[in-house]
Order: sequence, then structure tokens, then C-alpha cells
Amino acid sequence: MIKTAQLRINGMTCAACAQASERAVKKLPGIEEAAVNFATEKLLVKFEDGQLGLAEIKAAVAKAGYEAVEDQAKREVTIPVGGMTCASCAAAIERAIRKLPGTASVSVNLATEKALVSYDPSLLRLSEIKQAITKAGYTPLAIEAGAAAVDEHKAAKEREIRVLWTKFIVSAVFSVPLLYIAMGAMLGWPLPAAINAMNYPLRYALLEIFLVIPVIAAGYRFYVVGFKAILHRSPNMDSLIAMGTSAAVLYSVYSVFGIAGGDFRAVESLYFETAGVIITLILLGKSLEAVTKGRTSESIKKLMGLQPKTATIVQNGAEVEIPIGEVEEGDIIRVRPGEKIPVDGEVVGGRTAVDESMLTGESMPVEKEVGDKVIGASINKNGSITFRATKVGADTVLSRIIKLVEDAQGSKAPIAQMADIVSGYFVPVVFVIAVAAAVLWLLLGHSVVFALTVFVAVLTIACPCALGLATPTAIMVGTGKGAEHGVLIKSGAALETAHGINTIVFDKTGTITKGSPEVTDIEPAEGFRAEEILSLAASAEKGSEHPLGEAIVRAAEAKGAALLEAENFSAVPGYGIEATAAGRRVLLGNAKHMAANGIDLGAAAGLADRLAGEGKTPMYLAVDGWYAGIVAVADVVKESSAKAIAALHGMGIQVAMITGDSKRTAAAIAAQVGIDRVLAEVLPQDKALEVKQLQSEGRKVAMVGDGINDAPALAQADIGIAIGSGTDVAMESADIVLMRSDLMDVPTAIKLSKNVMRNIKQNLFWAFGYNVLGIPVAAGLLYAFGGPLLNPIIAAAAMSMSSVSVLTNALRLKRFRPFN
Amino acid sequence: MKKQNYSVIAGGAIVLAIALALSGCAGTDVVGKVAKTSFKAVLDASKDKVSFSKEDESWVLASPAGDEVLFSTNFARNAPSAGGMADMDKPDVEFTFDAAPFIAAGLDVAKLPAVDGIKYELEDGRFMLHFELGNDAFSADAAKSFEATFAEIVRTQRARIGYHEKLDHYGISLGDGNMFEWAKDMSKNDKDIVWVLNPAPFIAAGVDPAKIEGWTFAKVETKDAKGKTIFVDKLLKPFNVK
Repeated sequence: MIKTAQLRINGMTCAACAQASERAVKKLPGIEEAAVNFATEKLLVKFEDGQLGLAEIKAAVAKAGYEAVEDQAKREVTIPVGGMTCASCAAAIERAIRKLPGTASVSVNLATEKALVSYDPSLLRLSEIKQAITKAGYTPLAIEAGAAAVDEHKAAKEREIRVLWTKFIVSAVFSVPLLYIAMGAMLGWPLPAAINAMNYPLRYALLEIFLVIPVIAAGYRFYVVGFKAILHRSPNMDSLIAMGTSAAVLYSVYSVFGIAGGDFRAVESLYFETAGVIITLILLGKSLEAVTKGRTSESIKKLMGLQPKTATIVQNGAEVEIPIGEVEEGDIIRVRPGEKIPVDGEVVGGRTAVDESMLTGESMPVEKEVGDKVIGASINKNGSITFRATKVGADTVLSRIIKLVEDAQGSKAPIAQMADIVSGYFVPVVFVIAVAAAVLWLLLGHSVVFALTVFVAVLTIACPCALGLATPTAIMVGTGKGAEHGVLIKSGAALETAHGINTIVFDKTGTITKGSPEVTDIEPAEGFRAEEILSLAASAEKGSEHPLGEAIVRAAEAKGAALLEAENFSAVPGYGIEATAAGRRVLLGNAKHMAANGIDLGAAAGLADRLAGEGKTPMYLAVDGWYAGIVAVADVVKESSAKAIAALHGMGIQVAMITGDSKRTAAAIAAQVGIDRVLAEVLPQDKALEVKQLQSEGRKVAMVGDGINDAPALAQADIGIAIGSGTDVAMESADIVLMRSDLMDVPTAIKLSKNVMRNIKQNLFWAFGYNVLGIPVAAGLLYAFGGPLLNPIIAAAAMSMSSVSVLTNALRLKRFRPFN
Repeated sequence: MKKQNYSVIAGGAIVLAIALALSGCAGTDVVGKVAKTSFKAVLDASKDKVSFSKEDESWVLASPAGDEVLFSTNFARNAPSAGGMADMDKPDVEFTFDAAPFIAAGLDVAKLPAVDGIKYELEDGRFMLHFELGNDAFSADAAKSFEATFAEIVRTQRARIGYHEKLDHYGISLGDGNMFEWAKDMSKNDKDIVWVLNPAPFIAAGVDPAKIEGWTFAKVETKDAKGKTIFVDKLLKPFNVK
């Protein structure tokens, strides 16, 4: 018997590891299929149960150098981490946590400064994970939830920015005179005679030392973290800064000894100002980076800030204001006009209009009365209501949206993998290049000062931080911006996949159409009036629970038609109904129902055919044995459907519609909205197969449905898009959740995805291009061909600006506008 | 004001105080110190060329070719009376050398321009350049030895003492671009002493500087008063005392 099992593979560091472990398993006798996914670190294996066991499979993986473990009950935790400066820092933390036994997966996001750890609580404690982070040289911050976390996080970020600015100011205060003195000596700027470099070189050098000391003190963190990281064999950006500036300072100190010993030419070999200005510029870059990075998560902060801090509950007839955390399910809550609705619930008293735009992007206030659901964080506009709390704490729609967006922002897009791999090797490679370039120039006969300049410039210009920020910052801004418009993208991978979609399949009912039938045509027979037949049909259907009957009753109520007392109601499944209203015998149903009751339809069959051809459901009405007219009902298309599909066509995307309706009805709807391909008469359970069929044609398929009965199709599609209201099912099964039922949000989601991907590619281009061009220039390539040699100070300025430019580019996504 | 700002100001004040203290600390004047030791080395190497002129109250350092440089034992001896001029017949420093090469190169002494602090004199075929450097009184012991006189010159005229990086020389600026230079380390330098004259006055007096026998007319890399690298025309006469 073939058995399927899923094992987690630990110890893989790259795609080659995945292939190695996969090959090892495939070699075993009895293996039907084996596939290792490097991203999820999982082995999916099908094997002959009697011939092979899990123990053998684990042993084969172990022999290949990895560890295969069965998935256990895992706990996930998101730990905010302080002190990261570049992608290498994130990689170092990942390595430190991954080493811990019991860690299932770890993903550290530099942009959000959070570590998402999945671990086995029976093997590993949270405190141990935190210790590992601390040991790696970083600071695990408090894990809190809700508004308190927002405030704490905000305060911590503000504190960090303040400290960075202070350090920068201190650094600048001493670096500016240091640079002036150093450059002044070279360029002949006015300097006091008492510190003239040629006449008083030792004074000049000592003054430079005293000016550089506070600068080094301001940037001490680069040295502490940088050298610690080297000791942990995971050098990072701080290591490069620390090595570069230390080399400059140590050589300068050596030169000072030379001056004191009478070698006054050594005054030309002082590089204190290089070290000082590098530190100052990096601190400036870090300060700007911290400010800009804060802006990338504004959307989520905005969402978190939506929740009110208190709620007014009604207890024994009295109103009591309590903290939001103390609200329990079942509490009756009073909300006055202008106040925010604190949690999710159901209206039990009053009537109002509620502004839900902050959650759904819907600009029009939504009317609420008894029985309607209200969403926490929406704003009560004009009436006082009481409602029963149905969802509190982490279960509210807002909390789930925040969790979803946070998870998405913390996730890594596949495109980030390349940057991650490069970042892992970046610093050691840069160090080797710096040493090699310096040695080469020395061998070519250049001075130690020249070689030192090259060494420091290479270390300084190399910037792993821009690489590390390129992808996550764009994802953060993009997913946040999406959330602002009611487009919830669940992961970086979904965001990346969505931009390559070339076919979109729409479920018909509830997606392209409104999902609730409406009366579209009333065609009275001769001798009958439209109001009369609507009144009679509605009176007969009054007790019906059939969607078509409900549509007729709603239409009669809307038109003010009289609803008469009906009796002797009977329903004939597959035919129609029969009832007596105001003493008249009323029959309503299909042609078979009429024929069975001997009603002569005359030429009405032609009219019914035409209506059916338009995608409508015609129902014949007979009164007292005579044909009285036709009432046609249809599930009408949404106002935005045609516009949305046209927008998708404009993006070069083919649009298909999938429905269980007849081909004729489906074709009629498709024609109305401009669908390219119709997949009709498809049973709900076969929708996933149809999606698979499209994928087998080489198409990248997105499936758009309401998430209720489309879950398998949403899961099968490359991208599942659930439309409307964010139900639990939709949130679970889809990759993208659209809070509103507006189809225009589909092209908006695709456009957002395309914009984010373009932005990521731009960021990666600049980050890679910057290093690819900058490092050879710093190593003296231009100089070798008669060009200039890069001054380490210019290198430091360029490095600082590279991260800021990547962040600024990512922030351009904040200008994203939805389609409508 | 926030605590952090106080720290910045306090830190700045401390560094400034240290910088000022350093500026006034003679121990950090390595150029002045090494200038004295290196000049002593030149004197030690030129023992038979060093003499004292009672008439001029100056120490004399002669070159193998008979050219001489004189250093007064007290710069205050020719101090001007109130509001008057210094007595240029009692110079602080004096160069004496053969005038023939200059005359042969076209020198018309009458045309030498007047330069403040410098006096040109031609007597018995010798050219004498008198330089007035200052009016500071030297200590009583200054006349006891050439080194002692030189130490007083460094003390009182420290701003005129400099290091010429290109030639690895120390030098005394004598005014108007004229210098007296000596090697920082004679063992590593083929020019133990160099007289440096500004050619401009001679050119103005009709001299073709390229035709002065025994002198080199060259562009010399040096630094101006602000420390900026410049190239200037000079008349150079190097001596090897070894």
C-alpha cells in the first residue's frame, strides 16, 4: 500500500542541500515519489508501506547530512529584535536560532525587525530562543500583543531614532572640525599657526586624535557588534565599518608615533578624519534609515491604531466604561454617534450608519439595524446603537487583518532568496576583495597609504544593508497599502506570484453577479397589469424560502405592491408552487408546471426563450386557470464587473468564468461583462479540476471566488483571491482576500502586485548594481586605467545613501492608487 | 535642555580644553626640538668651519667654498629706538658670498629693490645679505655656544622654523622667500646645508638667474604659510659639510 508522509528536513542551507536529500531518499527501494521543498524545508514522500518505513527514510536523509523529523505540534512566535543593521545580521540571528534543537523554522525580517520562529515547545523554550539572540549580539524585545505592543514598539522606535540622531550630532560636531583641520592642511584653508601641520605636526596629530575619540565613542556600537560578529564567524555590515575605520585609526596612531619620533612626513599619513567622517556618515545613514523604515510600517500601525482603547458596556441597566481587553463575548455595548465600535458584534438595539472604510475601503457608510453585524474599529456615524459582542480580542476582524498583514510583511518573497544567499557570503567576500586589492597595489609598488585607502574604501562602500532591505521594505509598504484599500495579501510569495498571473477565473455567483436574484422583467398577458401579476405572484410566494420566491417578494415590497393573504400553499419540487390568494388560484412555475395543470401558454414560450437566452429565469404565472404573464428573475451582474474585466484585459490577462449554470445562461452573463472563456455546468467539486486544466495549458491562474464553496479551486490556483467581507473560510483558503465585494479590487490587487514587484526589482538592481560597480571602483579599477581613486569618505557617503535610496524607492509605493 | 545635549556640550568643552592645552604645550613641539638636535649635528660635522666673530657678535658657519652665514647672539642688540628702524648694519642673520657670479649674470646693484627687513651690500667683491628677524632679547647664556644661540633663535623665532618635507630639511625663514636650510639627518641627505634665495630682487636688478655660476635656479615644491603646497622659483646653493 502506498503511504504518503511529510517530514521536516533540518540542516539545509541552500537549494543544493534540498537536491542532495531528495536524491538520497529517491535511491531507497519502495519510494514512489520524493520531493524536497527548500523554502518550506519539507520532504513529501510516497512509499510502499510494507517495503519501507519512516525510520529508513530518516536514516537516508541523515546519511546525506541532514535531519528528517516528523512534524510535531509547533508553536509560532514573533520576537521583535533590536540592534540589526543589515541582512547579515538577520542571517546571523537565523543561524543562531536554527542551531537550537526544537527549532522548526526561523525567518528574520530586517525591515520589520522581527524574528518569526516556529518551534517545538517540548524541546525548546522561548527564553532559550531569546538567549540565542542575545548571544548572537542582538536584543530580543518584549513580545506583546495589541495596542500596548503598538505603543511600546512606537516608543522603542522613537527612542532608537532619537539615540541615533544624538550619536550623529555628537559625531558631526567633532567630525566637521576634524575634516576641516585635515582638509585645511591640504587645501590651505585658514588654520591657527599653533596647529600648523608642518610646523607643529605632533600637536596637529594629537588634536585629530582628541577630535576622533568622541566620534568613535558615538559609533562604538559598530565596533562592539562588528567584532563580536567576526568572533561568531558571521561578519556583518558593522564588521566592515569596524574593520575599515579601525585600520584607518590604527595606521594613523602608528603615524603619530612616527611623528613623535621625528618622522614628520608621517603627518601625511593621518587618516583620523577618514575614520571619523565614515562613522558620521554611516550614523547619518542609519538615522535616515530608521526614520524611513518607520514609515514603511505606517499602514500596519494605522490599522493597529484603529482599535479604541475602551468600550462602554451596559450592565444591569447602567453604562460602565471598561478597557477593551476586558470586553467579553456576550457583553452588550453602547456606541454613540461619532464613537468607534470597539469589537465585532450584532446590533440588538437602535439604527445607524457605520463607516467601515478603514477596514474595507468602502467609502459609503453602511446602514445597520437590529440583527446586522458590526465590525470593531468602524465608526458609528449618526445613531446610538447597542450591540452584543460576538468576537473579542484576537478573534475580531481587525485583529485577524492585522495578523494577516503582519504575517505577510514578515514573510519572504521567493525573489528575496537570491539576495539572502548573496548576503550570506557578502561580507567575507568583500573582506577578501579588500585585502587582495590592498596587497595587489602594494605589490605593484604603491605606498602603504595608497593600499590602506583602497582597503578602507572597499570595506566602506560594500553595503549588504541595501540588499537586505530591497525586498522586505517593498513588501511591507505594498501589503500595508493593500490593506488600506481592503486588499489583504497574505504573503510575500502571493504578492510575487500575483504579478505573473495571465489568466483569471471568476466564480460567477456572488463574484461576477450579486449572488442574490432580482426580478428583472414582468411581462403581463393581455388583460392583466404588471402590478397585479407581481402582487399575486408575491402573495403566493410569501411563505416560500426559495431564493427565486424571495426575490419576487422583495420586488413586490420595493414597488409597494399589495401582499394578499394566501392559503393552500403547496410546492411541487422541480415544477413550481400553487396557492390561493384573495380567493384566486395562483400557479407559478416552469412550463412543465403549466402543462401539468393544463394551462395554455400560447405564444408566451417564445418570450420565455428570449428571457432565458439573456441569462434570466422566466416563471410563468397562471390565475384561475388562465395564463397571466411571466415574471423573470436573474442574478444580476455587479456594476463593477464589466469595468473590472476590461481593466484586466487592459493588463493582458485572459478572463474566464466558472459556473454550475447552463451554458446558455453562462454565455449570456459572459457576454454582458466581456468574459473571454466560459466554463459552464461545472459542479462545485470539479472547479479545482478546471483550474488544474488551465494550469496544464501553461497558464498562471488566479481564481476569484467568495471563498465559501470555492476553497479547493482557490487552493489549486496559483493565486486564490477571496472576494467579499473576509469570512474565516476566505481568510484561510485564499492568498489574497478582498474585503469588499467590488470586483475592481481584483485588478487593483494585480496592479499592486506588479507595482511591488517592479519596485523590488528596481531595489535589487540598485542594491546589486551599487555593489557591483562600487567595489571595483573602490578597489582602484578606475585608477588602474588613469582615473581617480575613490576616497573612503565618498565611499561611506555612497554606502549610507544606498540604503536610504532603496527605502525611499520602496516608499514610492505609498503613492499607489487603486483602479477605481 | 535635555541631558544628552548637556553631554554633547560637556564633551565638546573637554576636547576643546585638551586641544588648547596641547597648543600651549612645548613638549609637543617636536619640530622645534628636532630642529635643534639636527642643527647641532650640522655644527658637529662642521667643527673647523664654525667660529665666533667678536666684531659682529655673531656665530659664523662657513662653507667649504668660503661662503658664510652669521647668526647674531642677541637679536635685541639692533632693536630700533622707539619708532625708528632696526640697525641693518648689525643684522640678526647674514649671508656672505662671492658676488662675481651675480655680476657676471648681469647684476646692477643700484637696481636691487628695497625690501623691508633685508639689506643688500657689496664690498670687496663679496655680497652681503643682512636679514632682520626680530628684536627679542636672548638669554645671557646664548652667546656661550652656537647651539645655545640657535636654541634661543628657535625659542624666540619659532614661527620661522619649519620642516621642508620635500628635501627632508629644517629651515629658518629669513623673510621675502629667503631661507637657510639644513638636513634633518645628514647621513640620509646629500645636501647638508642649502641657502635659498628669492631670485625676484636679482632678476629685477638685471640678473639672468639661470646664468649664476654656482647657484641653481629651480622651481621648488614647498608649502605656503597656510600649509598649501606651492611651487616657487628659488636660487639654491647647496653645501656638503662632510
